[in-house]
Amino acid sequence: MVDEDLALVVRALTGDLAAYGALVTRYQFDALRVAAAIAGPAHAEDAAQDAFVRAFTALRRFDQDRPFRPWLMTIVANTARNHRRSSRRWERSTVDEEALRHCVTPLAATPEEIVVQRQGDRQLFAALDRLPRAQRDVVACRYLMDLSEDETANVLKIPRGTVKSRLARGLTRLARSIGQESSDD
Amino acid sequence: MTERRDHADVEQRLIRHGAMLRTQLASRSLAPTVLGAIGDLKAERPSSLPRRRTRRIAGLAAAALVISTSTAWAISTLVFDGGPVTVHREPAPQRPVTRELDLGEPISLELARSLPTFVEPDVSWIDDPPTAWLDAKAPGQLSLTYPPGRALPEISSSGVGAVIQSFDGDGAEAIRKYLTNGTRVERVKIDGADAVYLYGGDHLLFYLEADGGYAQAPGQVVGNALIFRHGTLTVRIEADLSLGQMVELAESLRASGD
Repeated sequence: MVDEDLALVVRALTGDLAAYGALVTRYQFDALRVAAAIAGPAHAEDAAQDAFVRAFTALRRFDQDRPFRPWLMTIVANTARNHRRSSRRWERSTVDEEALRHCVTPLAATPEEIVVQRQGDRQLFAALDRLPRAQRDVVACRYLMDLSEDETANVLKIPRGTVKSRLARGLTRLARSIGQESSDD
Repeated sequence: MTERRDHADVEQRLIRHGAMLRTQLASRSLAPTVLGAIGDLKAERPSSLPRRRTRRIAGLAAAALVISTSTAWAISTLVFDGGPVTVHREPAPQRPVTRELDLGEPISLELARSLPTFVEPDVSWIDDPPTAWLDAKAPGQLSLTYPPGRALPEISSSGVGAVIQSFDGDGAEAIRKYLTNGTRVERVKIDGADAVYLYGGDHLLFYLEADGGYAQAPGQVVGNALIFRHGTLTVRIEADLSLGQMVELAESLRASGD
């Protein structure tokens, strides 16, 4: 895979756009997941697209002795941070009613369950939005985007131990936040 | 105990939502938009900043000549515009130069032949296979070096017999050459396209960054060279050959598989 990446990078450097298109296709899902974890799913596509364009313009500076994917993901993460600065909230852009409907329906047996589950979804995203950003990033990377601990540490530029501690604190805070909201209802 | 159960509940909900979000993301296709944006980017800078600046200087020069023929500083220095490779008269920038070849990283001939910038000569008097080099300093810069031999005298500045460099001809200016006092210029045609033959003295070659500034790499002192457009490519041949041999070499260039 690494050799294939390098061959595509070399071809892209010669102006072969189809080769770069192959790299985009190969890593678009990874890029979207990283962008979604940091900037929120609604901004993921824009951020990932920007990142791929930036990576292309920076391709001459890519060290061909190193693997392409981590280099690309660093650009994606940085670009997503810029997009996040221009959008104040993660949660608002995340709640896609239509998507929730499609998602929830097969998992819920009755109309009552659907209503309860949707309410829970909103609670969850609202609670995510209230988390400190550092914890939210880790929770989003690990649970929502299914990145490994190493990938999360690499993308967020934090040690692996910090990933674990922030994740534990984030989950505790989420559970308390949701529990409190439920008892208020 | 309750806290652990709450944790597990939150984890389950996050995992379920994550699966939903990833399903949505997996259906996206970014390549068409990304490649379109890159195409737009290329279209916005067809002649690159430095060349625009050169043309502006040329315009200024024309005006200055009308006002005073003594304002020689304003005369355009552009001798040849070969897209990514331009040739200028002095004054060259006061930057360090070296006689060592810096052509990037060696790559296999097989990989070189698969690249769109690959061309090789088809003349009977070159038998030895070349060494291929790919350099990220200039877009798509692919170089072939041939060892010196009976038909290819050693180039004194670099010790090789010939260098054939090809670039993506639509790229921004990436190499700027300056003629020194001893360099002479002859304009010729290669397969009907304009070309310049630089001979009679070493000249200087500097790499440019994408923003038009000079790259960190030192400039290079190079010998006789022929620069011309070849289809969509710009090609530079450096060899200690007569103009007739250079033209023969240039007109024999073939892409891989031709």
